[in-house]
This record gives sequence, C-alpha cells and structure tokens, in this order.
Amino acid sequence: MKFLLRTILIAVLSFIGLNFFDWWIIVIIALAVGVIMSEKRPRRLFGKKKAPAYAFLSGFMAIALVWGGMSWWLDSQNASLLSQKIFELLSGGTSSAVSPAWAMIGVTACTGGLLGGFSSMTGNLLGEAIKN
Amino acid sequence: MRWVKFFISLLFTAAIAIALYFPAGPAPALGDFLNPFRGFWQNAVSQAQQAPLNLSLPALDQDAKVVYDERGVPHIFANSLKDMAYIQGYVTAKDRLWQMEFQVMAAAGRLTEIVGPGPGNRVLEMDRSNRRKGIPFAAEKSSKAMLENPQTKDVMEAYTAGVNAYLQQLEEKDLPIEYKLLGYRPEEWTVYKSALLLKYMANSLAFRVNDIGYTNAIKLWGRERFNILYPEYPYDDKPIIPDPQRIRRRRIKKLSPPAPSDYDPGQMLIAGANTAPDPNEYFVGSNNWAVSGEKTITGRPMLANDPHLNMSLPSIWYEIQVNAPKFNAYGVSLPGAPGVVIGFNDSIAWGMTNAGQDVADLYQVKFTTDKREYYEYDNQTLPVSVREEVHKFKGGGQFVDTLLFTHVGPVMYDRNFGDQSIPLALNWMAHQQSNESLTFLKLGQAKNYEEYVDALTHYQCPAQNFVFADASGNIAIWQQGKYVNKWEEQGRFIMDASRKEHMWNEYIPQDQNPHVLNPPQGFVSSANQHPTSPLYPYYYTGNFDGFRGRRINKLLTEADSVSVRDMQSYQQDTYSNQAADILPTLLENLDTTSLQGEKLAAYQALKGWDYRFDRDKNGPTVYTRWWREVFFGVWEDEFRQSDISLVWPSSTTTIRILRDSALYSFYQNDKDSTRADSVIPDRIYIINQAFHRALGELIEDFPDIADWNWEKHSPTNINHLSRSIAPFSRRNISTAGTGTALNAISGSHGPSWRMVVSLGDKVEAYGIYPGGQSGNPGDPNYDRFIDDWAIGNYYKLNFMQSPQDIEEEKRLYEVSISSGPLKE
Repeated sequence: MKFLLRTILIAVLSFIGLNFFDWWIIVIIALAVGVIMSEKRPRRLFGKKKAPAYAFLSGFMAIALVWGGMSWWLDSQNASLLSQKIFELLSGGTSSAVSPAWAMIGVTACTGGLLGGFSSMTGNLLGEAIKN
Repeated sequence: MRWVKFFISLLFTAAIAIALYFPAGPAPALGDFLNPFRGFWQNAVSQAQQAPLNLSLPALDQDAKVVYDERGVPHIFANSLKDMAYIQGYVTAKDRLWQMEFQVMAAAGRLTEIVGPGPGNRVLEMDRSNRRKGIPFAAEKSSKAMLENPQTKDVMEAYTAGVNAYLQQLEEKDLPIEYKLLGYRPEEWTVYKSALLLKYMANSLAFRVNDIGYTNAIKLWGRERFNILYPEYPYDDKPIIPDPQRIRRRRIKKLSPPAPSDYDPGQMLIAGANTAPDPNEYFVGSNNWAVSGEKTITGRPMLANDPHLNMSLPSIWYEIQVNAPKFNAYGVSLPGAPGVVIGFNDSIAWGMTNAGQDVADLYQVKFTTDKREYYEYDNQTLPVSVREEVHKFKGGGQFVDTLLFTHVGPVMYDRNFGDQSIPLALNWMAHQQSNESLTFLKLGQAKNYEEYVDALTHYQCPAQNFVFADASGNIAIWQQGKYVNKWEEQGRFIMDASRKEHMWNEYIPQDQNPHVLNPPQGFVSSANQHPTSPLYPYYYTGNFDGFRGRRINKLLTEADSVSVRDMQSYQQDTYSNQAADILPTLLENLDTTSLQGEKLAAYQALKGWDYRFDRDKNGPTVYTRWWREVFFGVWEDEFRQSDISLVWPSSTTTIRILRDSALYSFYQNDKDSTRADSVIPDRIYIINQAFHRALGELIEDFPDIADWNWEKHSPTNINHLSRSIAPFSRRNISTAGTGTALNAISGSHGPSWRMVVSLGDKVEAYGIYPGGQSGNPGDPNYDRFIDDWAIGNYYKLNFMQSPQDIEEEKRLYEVSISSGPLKE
C-alpha cells in the first residue's frame, strides 16, 4: 500500500514539477518523498533490509513511468520519425533487438528511472537515519 | 551504519546526476537531452500539429493574417511593408531558426564556438579563412548601407524585430533540436546578421580565385602553353547575350595593360587548395530562361529558373508569399533576409543564375620591414591597420589571429595562414559597400521592365544573370553586378599592391553591363556560360561553362507553342553536351578487337547511347568513369603536385585538346614507367588505358552489369547543413541527370529550386525544392518535397490575392496576428 502510494506520489509530483523545472527536480521530489515516507522501524529480523530496496523500486517505477509514458506519447504522435533518427545518431548505426523507437523510449525510461530510484532510496535512508 | 548506507546511496545519486548534467565529449548533456519534457522528444512534433490561431506581436502596427497552405507555405497579408517584414522574420525563425543562425555563424567565422576547432583544426581553419577573406568586414559595410537607406532600414529592422520577437517567446522545450544536440543557445538577431547571410551567398557564388594557380602555371609552362591550358574563350559557345553590338562603349575607354601584365612574384606560390576536380561536374551551375509570347501556347511570356546550389537540409530556400498594399510577391526567400529572392508578382517574374566573372583578385603586399607595420604603395609607404580576430572554442580555449588590412583589402594569405611566404591581400567586390536587399525589395513590387532595371541598379555582388518577363509581353536578361574596367588579363595573375596601375581604378557604367530586351530569337537564357561574345567592349574573365547553355539555346530555338509542361521538361532534360562532344572521339580511338564479356557490354552500352543521363541506362555510368580516367590520364602527372598550387584545366579545354590533337606534349606521362618506348600514339594510348582502368574499377565495384544503371551508380545525397549529423541527411535518393545536363544533379549539387511561371492576366506558377518548409528533422515537413522533386514533379503554387483566395482543402490553417504584448 505504502509502496503504491509512494510511487504514485513521486510520479504525480514529478509530472507537475517537470513542466516547470529541469530534470533535476526529480532528485528533489523523489528524495523528499523518500524522507517523508520513511519510518522509524524496530529492529526486526525480516524486512529490515527491504525498505530501501522498495524505496528504490518505487522511485524507479514512478520516473520510468513518467518519462517512458511521456516519450511514448510524443513518439506515437510523431510516428517514430525523430526517435529513429536519434537512435541512429546515438548508436552510430548499430542495430538493436527492439525497434529504434522502443529502444529510445527504453533508454529514456531507464535513465529517468535510475535517477528517480536512487533519489528515492537516498531519501528513505536519510529519513531512517534521522528518525532512528 | 545507517548513515554509511545513506552516504553510499547519496554518492550513487550524485554520480548519476553528474553524469546526466555534463556533456560527455561530442554527446549532449544526457539529462537535458533525454528529458521528455524539454529534451529531444519535444521536437518529435505531432503529425497534425498546428500553430496557434491567434498571435499577438508587440511591434505590429496593424492587424495582419498569415495563411499556411497544405505544404506549410506561409502567405503573409500585412498592411505595410514594415509589418510584412516583421511577420516574415517571425514565421521564418519559427521554421528555420537554427539554420538561419548557423549559416551566419559560418559566414562570420564563428563555428568553433559551436563545435570546437574540429579534428586537425579543420573548423578553425575554415573560420580563419572566412575572417581573413574579410566576410565580417564586408557585412559591416553592407549593414551600414542597409541602414542608410530609409526603405531598407525600415524593412531590415522590422525583420530583425520579428526574429527577436520569436526568440523572446521561445521556450527551452521548443528549441530546434540542433541546439539541444550541440548544447548551445540562439543569440539575438541583428541587421548585421542579415548582411552576413548575403555575404555568405557572395562567398559561395563569387569567390573563385584562380590567381595563384594561374601565376604558378604561366611560370611553370610559359605563355604559349598557358593559353592552350586556360583559353579565355571556349569552343562552340552560345553566350547569354546573343548580339553584343547592342552594347556600345561610352564614356570610358578600354585600358591598356601595364607591362608586363603577367606579374611575376619571383617564386612559386603555395597557398590555396590544389584539389583535383571531378571532370564530370567541373562546373555545376544554374539555368534560367524566358520565352516570349510569340513562342508560347498562351501568347504571353513564360519564365523558368532552377538555381543549382549545394543542396542541404534544411533547404537553402524558404518558400513564402508576402503581401502588403502595392506588394504581392511569391517565391523563395533566404532564411535570414526579408523579401523574395527568386519569384514573381502579379506583373513580372524574375530568376537568377550565377554570373561567374572574376571579382576577387590577390595582390602581393610588400611590407617595408619584418614587423609588417608599413607597406609600399606608389613610391610611398602606407600604414597597415591591424584587426585582432579572436576565435573562441566550445568548452573553453581560444585562438587569436592577427588580420592585417591594406588599402587593397585584408591580407588573406601570409606566413601565418596558407603556408605562404609571400603575403597576399584580397581585393574582392563583396568588400564594397552595397545594398543588395534593396534590389529584392524593389523587384517584389516592380510592375514593368523599367522598374526591374531600376531595382537591379542597386545590385553589386554576387553578380547574377537576372532573367525577366512581364505580363505585358516583355522578356529580358541583365547580367548585373559591379564590374571593374580591367585591362587585358588584369586580375588573372597575382598583382602588385605597390603599383597604382594594378589597382581597381574605374568601374564599368552599370547601364553597359551585358543585357538584352526582347531579342528577335524570341527567348533569353543563361546557364553560367560567357555573358557575351568576344565583341563585348570590356575585358572580363572568370569561370564559365557552355554545355548547358548550348542545350537550352537549341531546345528554345526549335521550340514552338511552348507550354508549362514543356518548360518543366526542359528543366528535367538529361542530355549532356559534354558526352556528345567527346564520346565519339573516345569510341573512335578505342581498340575494340579484343573486348569481351563486361567490357564488350560496356562498349555496346556506349555505342547505342543518346547522351542522356537517364536512370535506367548503363551508358552514363560507363561514360562517366571512362571520361574521368581519360581526364586524369592527360593531366594527373602535371597537376597533382603537392608543393605548389595549380588550377586544373576545364573539361571543355580537355575535350578540345583531345579532339584536335593526336599528339600533345602533356599526353606524355612521366610517372608511367611501363611505357618507355611504345609505338602507340599518345592519345590512343591514354584513351585505351583509361577504358581498361575504368572498367576494371567498375567491375570491381559492381560485378553485376544489372547494377550499372545510372540510378544505382549516381545516388543523390542531401546532407544536413552541419555536415556532421548524418541521420538528419537524406541519402541515396534516386535521380536522373548530371552536372553537364540541364537537369544538373550531381552528388549533393543540383536544382535547389525549380520554378516555372506563366504570365498573363492571372499568373500561373509551379515550383518545388528538395527539402521542406520545416527545419525540424522531427517534423514530416522537413524533407517532404524530396520524393516529388526526385521524380520531377512540380507543385502548383497558391498565389493568393487575399487571405480568402485559396481552395478550402488547400488551406491548412490561418493565424490572426494583432498588435499587443507578445503571446501565442
């Protein structure tokens, strides 16, 4: 539940924030949400190590969703005209297993996802460090 | 422990953020670039995208409208010339901002700021060359002239304000993709930048300096051989002006050359590129012609123009209609300058080809001391003025070049540039103060021959053949530019900056430039050939080519009841006079007794060939390769010299020599040791050797004869203007034609705009260019016209009288523009 809530929160806030700020707003949002949603946890045997991993996952999914979704939407409106050219430019003409458009959407989603994931995890760890 | 984990995680986050923030080498900063809210994805525009339907611009005087037609051509309807230019600046920037600025940066020698000095300092050297030629210096003068004239001042300033209005409201996400890729931002536009653009054109059209190569050649081979290698007048030419006696010399007299006229600098010169030409595209130029009503099916004149330039994406041209009270012109504009450059209005049509006369001369400067503070002139010493040129590099660093100015012009080559121990100053017509933009402003509103002639009087450089036709039935052609009254061979060789009689001392009166109105032959035409026969009373020299000129003269002489379709088919004509002139000689001298297999097939393809460079024929492929080898067989050992600069003889000269002479001193190849004492005559030897070498290479490249057709052999490439972003280019486009045919498509050169105008009570016009209105590679309009262009289609141009005057299905959308604070 909390996982879902955090994912949605990061995604929605980032979507809004990205309309006004550069990409680094993701770091601030995911980090802040990570801190806020972290909690003081008793030392339990199980689950203890999983919280930061879940924070990473939700940050990753949230931003991958926003960046992947946005780029997919723009790409489909454009019939993949530009993503093909950019893929060719960045890959230097090597072929890929998936279509150039999906490769570019994937790269975009993963790049954003990594940034969101690590930011969210950092926030979570910061929160736990403060609260404990 | 918790803090340790936090710090490790923070470190990872920071590392990723840093990796995304900073550009790595040539790649852009990935965070900015991939971010779909601001990066490249935003340039992936929707197929159905439309501009806002309402727009308000602060400097607009009265409400205006822009109608975009289905091909994305804006039709501007404004209430003053000022508003018209203002909106033209805005809409052009909207479609072509990056290109506008990039061309100007190139002209100003500032490309290193965008891309760095380049591998082997290639970009830096190009920048230095442009500054040393004095392009920025020339543009400063030109912008001064624009602002001194009240008419052009208003229009140029309004255009500039329009571009800047677009820049002001431009959001990060809408930046053209090239800015995002190269990681820089557009600067403010200025009138000076529009002037730079016109000098950019002058540089590509009127900067051909053979002085160095000729000076070396005459020293190396002597006068007699020089005259054979570089004849002033070619064989079998059809000059632009059919009857030169019409132009009589008045007021000024022909100058007699000071002795000696072929100035000898005392040693061989090194500067200037010595690149071997492609003998099949020795000269790629342009065509234009106008046919009088007596020869057309409508009884009124028709006009055609196809300027051949280096084709690029975004295209050099931007199609536009500009309308204001007493002004209604349609045609192509240069992104970065207001008005229409080639086009038509309700009353007249005009077009241009390049004139090719030599208007750039080099002078040896004699400094008094090694400090280079003074130089000799006419028994005095004059001070050198110094201009420090700072070349800034992308990502930091700079190079400071010292540019020395004499009264002749900037010292282009010296010990710091071009490996040149002899300092050479450049005297170039483009340096002189002039206001070419006034010509285009006046042509747009000209109603008749007199007003067209008046418009031309302001035009100095790059000189052009301005073809003209009007609705009342006149046709005319003027070669217009500012020309020096030169003594015989003045400026063919390096001159002496210390001698008064070597200067450009007087100019040919403008009204005596080559021209003709309504000649009895019923047509006028130009295709970069000589403007006049040798009977023209003034001396001139330059780079001319007669192959296409002869063809269009023949077609138009034979033509009758010419229709628009005929005019189009002439532009598509693939017959090469070069092939017709030389191939019979080549075939006669070819020993066919031992030919078999592919070589026999090649010979047969040529035997039955009609000299047309059509897609499905093998003849053009075999001929092109063979001719190249013949050309190099004759000249290579003499001209491929690394230590001095030389000009290779033209195809025309080579053909004349091969046709006339079985024996010729230059045939002997001193590098070919296999042929010490052969009994075969030189010409036969060269032609046969060339055939076997060419065929050997052809078979190696294309083992299957089925792949020899011209279409596969000679694909057209239209490259992105940056020349470095390959996916933004369109490559391997199938086309017909060759550099020496009217349809002069050759590599990346070719008809950059094809236009046919039928004049009358209502103008009917057709046109197409190899590109598209949008400069955005993510927009389907980026290269939308190319496929139609390649197969020879034309679009009927929507020449509108009012914002309503267009069929509904051809109207894409309309923008209402009102005066007010900037908003879309």
